[in-house]
Amino acid sequence: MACLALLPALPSPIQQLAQWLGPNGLPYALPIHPNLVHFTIGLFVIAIAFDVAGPCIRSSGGCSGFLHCRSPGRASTTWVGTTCSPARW
Amino acid sequence: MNQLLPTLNDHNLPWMDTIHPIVVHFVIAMAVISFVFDLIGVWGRKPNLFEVSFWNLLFATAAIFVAIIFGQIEAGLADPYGGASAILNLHSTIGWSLAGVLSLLTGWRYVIRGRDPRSLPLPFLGAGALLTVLVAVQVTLGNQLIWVYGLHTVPVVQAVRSGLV
Repeated sequence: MACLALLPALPSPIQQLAQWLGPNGLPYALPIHPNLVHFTIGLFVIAIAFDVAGPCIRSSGGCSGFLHCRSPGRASTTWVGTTCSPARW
Repeated sequence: MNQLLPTLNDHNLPWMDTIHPIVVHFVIAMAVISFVFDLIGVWGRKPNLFEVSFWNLLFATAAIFVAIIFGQIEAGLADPYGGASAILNLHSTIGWSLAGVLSLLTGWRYVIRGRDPRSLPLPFLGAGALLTVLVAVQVTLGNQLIWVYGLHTVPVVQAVRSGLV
């Protein structure tokens, strides 16, 4: 327990690194995490959106017809590339 | 007349916080993943991925116009200072250019897909690489506006309102 009492007196790694940290508190100029979550958020949300939209796209008219999305049986946006193409009509 | 306009909060915005950086998640992710799927489709001989790529490109194109609408409003309320003005101007110019590039690529892709959905010409892959580079530059500029100049952050808005910057 006596050792634990000494812990606050020890220099933390963050304090030792402080001289190399920039204005954002990072050792590099711009944070990387917010740039990587573009992919996590964007792709996860759009994957769910495609899953929801897939079963709804069944008609051959209007927008889905223009995009060649008619798909007998399974939904085109969840069945990759095999039914949602003019060549397979 | 000014009384008709909504009041601005401590982010100098009429809404809670910036919306543009949220919408660009979709543009960035879908534009880049579209190119990645094209690469895997061509070199890995997986033409099914071309269909995924097309849909991502289509929705990236739709999303960029929403991003531009919020981007223009929020840029107009940003009060850029110092070097931020030049970066914001370049960011806006590249943003509108990206909307044009994405629209052109989607139209081109629609024609390619209509003719043969299971092949992709190499020039389109080159255009996709150019698109990815443009997106990377645009993201870097946006990062600088937020993480270097702190536009729309509370301390910067307070400093601008106090006339300190």
